[in-house]
Amino acid sequence: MDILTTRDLRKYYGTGETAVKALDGVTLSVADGEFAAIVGTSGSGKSTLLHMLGGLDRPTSGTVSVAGKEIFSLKDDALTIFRRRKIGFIFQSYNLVPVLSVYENIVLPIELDGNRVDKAHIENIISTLGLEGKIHNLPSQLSGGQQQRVAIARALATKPAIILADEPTGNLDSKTSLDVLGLLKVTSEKFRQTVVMITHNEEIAQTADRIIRIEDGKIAGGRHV
Amino acid sequence: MYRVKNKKAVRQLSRRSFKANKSRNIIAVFAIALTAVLFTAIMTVGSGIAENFQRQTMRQAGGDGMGVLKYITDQEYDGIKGHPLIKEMSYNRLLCDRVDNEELIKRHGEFYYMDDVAMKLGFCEPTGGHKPAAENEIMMDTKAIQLFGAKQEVGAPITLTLNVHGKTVTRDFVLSGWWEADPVFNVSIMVASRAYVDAHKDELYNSYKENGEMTGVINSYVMFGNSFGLEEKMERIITESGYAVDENAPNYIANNVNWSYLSTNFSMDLGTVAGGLAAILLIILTGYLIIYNIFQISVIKDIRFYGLLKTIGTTGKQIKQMIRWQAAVLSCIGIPVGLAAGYFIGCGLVPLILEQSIYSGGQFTTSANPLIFAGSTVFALITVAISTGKPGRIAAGVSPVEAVRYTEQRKERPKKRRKSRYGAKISGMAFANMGRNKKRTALVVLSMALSLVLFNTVYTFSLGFDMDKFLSRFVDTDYLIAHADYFSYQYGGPEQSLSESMIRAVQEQPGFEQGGRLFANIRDAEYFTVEDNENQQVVNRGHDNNPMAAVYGLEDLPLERLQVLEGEIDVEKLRSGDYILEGIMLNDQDEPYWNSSHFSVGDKVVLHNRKGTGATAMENEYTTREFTVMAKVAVKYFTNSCGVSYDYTYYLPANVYQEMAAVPGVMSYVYNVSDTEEAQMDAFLEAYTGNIEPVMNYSSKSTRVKEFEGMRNMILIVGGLLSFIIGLIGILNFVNSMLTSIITRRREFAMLQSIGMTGGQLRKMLMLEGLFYTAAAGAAALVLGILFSAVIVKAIAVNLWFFSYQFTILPLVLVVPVLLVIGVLLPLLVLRTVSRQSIVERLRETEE
Repeated sequence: MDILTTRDLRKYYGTGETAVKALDGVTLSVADGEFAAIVGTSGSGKSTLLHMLGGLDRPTSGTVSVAGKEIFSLKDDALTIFRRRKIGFIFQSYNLVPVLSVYENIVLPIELDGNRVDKAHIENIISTLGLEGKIHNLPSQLSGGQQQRVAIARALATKPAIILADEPTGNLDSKTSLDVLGLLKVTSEKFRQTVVMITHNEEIAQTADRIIRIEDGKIAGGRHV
Repeated sequence: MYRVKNKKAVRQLSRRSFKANKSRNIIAVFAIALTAVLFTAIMTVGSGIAENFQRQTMRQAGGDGMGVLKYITDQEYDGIKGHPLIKEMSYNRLLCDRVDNEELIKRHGEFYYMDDVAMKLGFCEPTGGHKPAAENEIMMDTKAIQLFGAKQEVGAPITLTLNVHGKTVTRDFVLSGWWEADPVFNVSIMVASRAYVDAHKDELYNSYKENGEMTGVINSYVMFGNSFGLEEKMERIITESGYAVDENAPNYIANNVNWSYLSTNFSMDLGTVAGGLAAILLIILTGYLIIYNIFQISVIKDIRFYGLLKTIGTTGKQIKQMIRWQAAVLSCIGIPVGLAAGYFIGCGLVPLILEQSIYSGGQFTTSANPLIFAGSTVFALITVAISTGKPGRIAAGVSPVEAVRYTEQRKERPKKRRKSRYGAKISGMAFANMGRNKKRTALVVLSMALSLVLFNTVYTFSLGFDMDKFLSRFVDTDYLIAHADYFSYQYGGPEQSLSESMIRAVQEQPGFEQGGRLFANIRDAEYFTVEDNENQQVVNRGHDNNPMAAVYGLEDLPLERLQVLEGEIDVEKLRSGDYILEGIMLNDQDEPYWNSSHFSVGDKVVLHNRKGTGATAMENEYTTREFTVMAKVAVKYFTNSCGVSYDYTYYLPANVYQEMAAVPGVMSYVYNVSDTEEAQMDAFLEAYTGNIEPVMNYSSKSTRVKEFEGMRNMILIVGGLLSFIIGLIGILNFVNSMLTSIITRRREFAMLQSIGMTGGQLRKMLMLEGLFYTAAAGAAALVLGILFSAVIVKAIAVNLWFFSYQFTILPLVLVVPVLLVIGVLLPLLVLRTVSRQSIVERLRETEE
């Protein structure tokens, strides 16, 4: 079953002669439980694609469906709510809230939703990611790798339908990158999460189940690893 | 060092970034103009008040010479004139001992020859006609012309009856010119020509030292370079010219320094200087906070631009230059506008403020002293320089890499751990956000709280002003009329008598009920003394070496109004002339000072006075009269005394007093008017004292009420303005704090939104932040306000006799909700202005 599908997704910036076609008719689907990597060079449109998948930006035309819901039919606030329930984000620059502790950062999306925190689930995530000793620390006291692990925990906390990772290892050295990536893979398998990850690094992409290549806003090919 | 011609590039960059910041520029020009307005206005008001006060005291002193050499001869005048310390020296020569014209009985005349310096220093320069030149030409003030009944035109004939060395002569003159009479100056000055002096040389000899005759003496007013150490300078010019300041020396020259200079110099001390400095500092602070905020926000908004400039090799110094250049351009527009506006506001304020003072009713001038503008410009520039300094340093100090992700750097080490007491609740986040910059949060909260406390204190003060207490001190009857000197506590005797014509005029007014005169001869030839051998401490003694006494003669109404403190008044017995009432001073709480009582009821009191019509006491008959003290009554400073404290005060019925004094002076007349006619009486008195008898004045319940309200309003206005300014500072800080925090957190918000915070939740968080700020300020204000009101205001109130303390926090209760609303609404407004960019744009800010 496909958890994520796009059909003829286009995003143009500007109009006429000078229009920049960031995405030019992307159709793809990601199956439930899959770990997919989208690779492409700088300016290929991969970040735009990820933003579309997460509902952060609206496309010029085309549709995106997550867990059977066509997300751009939703109004802004409804989309935000859908996003916090169904989509987890991991950013290159971690994007943790500096005034909240590690634990508070992790449960933030749940509390924003006004839901009770599933303590067992959160503790499970925390121990899987090796963050037990750090939950009362502020993000500024953590290393980059630790911060990214908190970001992964945060993305997992709401048990989303899909996790979108935007260059999750971009700010980390290569050893830490592999550690973090390994943890991402392990946890997604453990919690049966679908992950779509963007990277320009072939080596990182190799850890995925499937690689989708994008060039000049179009799917240029792909293969299952 | 290489010298590179980069000025042009820097200038161009500044100009471009300047143009890109249009709305910032407009606000900044306004702020700079406002600062300049405040400086100029306060300096104009300050200098205007000082100028007018000094001028007024000089008018009362009769001239603006810094010192005067009295009764000198031509020879002495020439001997001193060349002294290097002297800047200007006038030549005022008295041409007679007295002017005996009937017309000048009420406003006595003085007849002079004056040189040009003398006319200038004496405010006697002609405003119409010309200075006297021919022997028979004369110049005088307009009031004198009016008294002579002459026409105010060149050539109008005037005949003077002069007393020259004891001989009466009559001479005819024609009017050559005039100047506007000064209402506070109660002497008719007449000026003749040099030709007159030359023609009557023989009679103008100076015999002052032999027989005290004034004809021919010269009074010379002296101006020095500045007014410091006047007494010492006067002494120097006399002694260094070969004369003496020792009264017994044969070559003694009498001299005086002008007390108007002394008093203004004195008041320039401490209080005024401190007040002025405080005002200037407050303005600098206000201006600083506004301008600083504007630049700070603009720099933080453009921080990536400055980072970019640095990446491509612009030095910090050049960035600072850019910001300084922009500030300079903005000042060039803002300061001149502010100077002009401030000057006009100041000019408008001077008369308003002076109307409240004792000098009301005169004409006021405010000169455009270049120092005002120079000073205001300097202070405004200082303010701009201080305010743009730190934003400049921030922009200059930014590292190219960090500029991209600039969030406010906290200086204090963050705490290591954070207990999840609040969870990730929105309110918890909002609360935690307040702690990002603790110093600023404290500053914002405190400055808002302070203004509230100040406002509450001011209000408590004005509320406590007790009109009844105030009136009971000043008002005994509905109206009191008297010579103007009485109201400046200078009443002495018949020369300053209330005119009978005015008493008749008020008696004829509708609604007049009952009135009575108070007679007194206090500091004139017919003064009183009292025998009291037991009291050796009295300093003020008469020629008979007995203590001076203030003795008043009261007609029925004032007599009935006396407040008896001991004994009983039997009016019939009192009128017999064998009894007297002793006056006892009251303190601020209206309790008697019993040590101002010198006799017991039933004791004998012996009064002496100098009865007669002579000009000096020694020419009058020394009389003695014995009384028995019948009762002790209260001396009411403002209703039944001359306003100057005497050790001995006595009240007699008018008939007895009139027996004792040959020319009883009418100190005042008190009367009641039916309530319905009071407004009309007020209007009548104002017109009468303004036009018909300007030397007379009045005090009424309504003028006292106005005075009271003026005082209360002054406190409310000054205090309110002060709280407003501090409040404005607080709000501006709050705006700045919210703005910088929101601008620098743009990306954080985008991230929060990307992980699922809705716009509503974001707004809620920011609203809560604003609410926490203002709620903290409100809470602090409540605590401090109650403390202030209950402790400090109450303590001060005990010392103010017209104050009844009332506890109130009403202003706080009213203002705090408004503040809370501002706290909630402001972040929303700010958010709206910065959140136009989409989430992705904001997220990308770091990544590209």
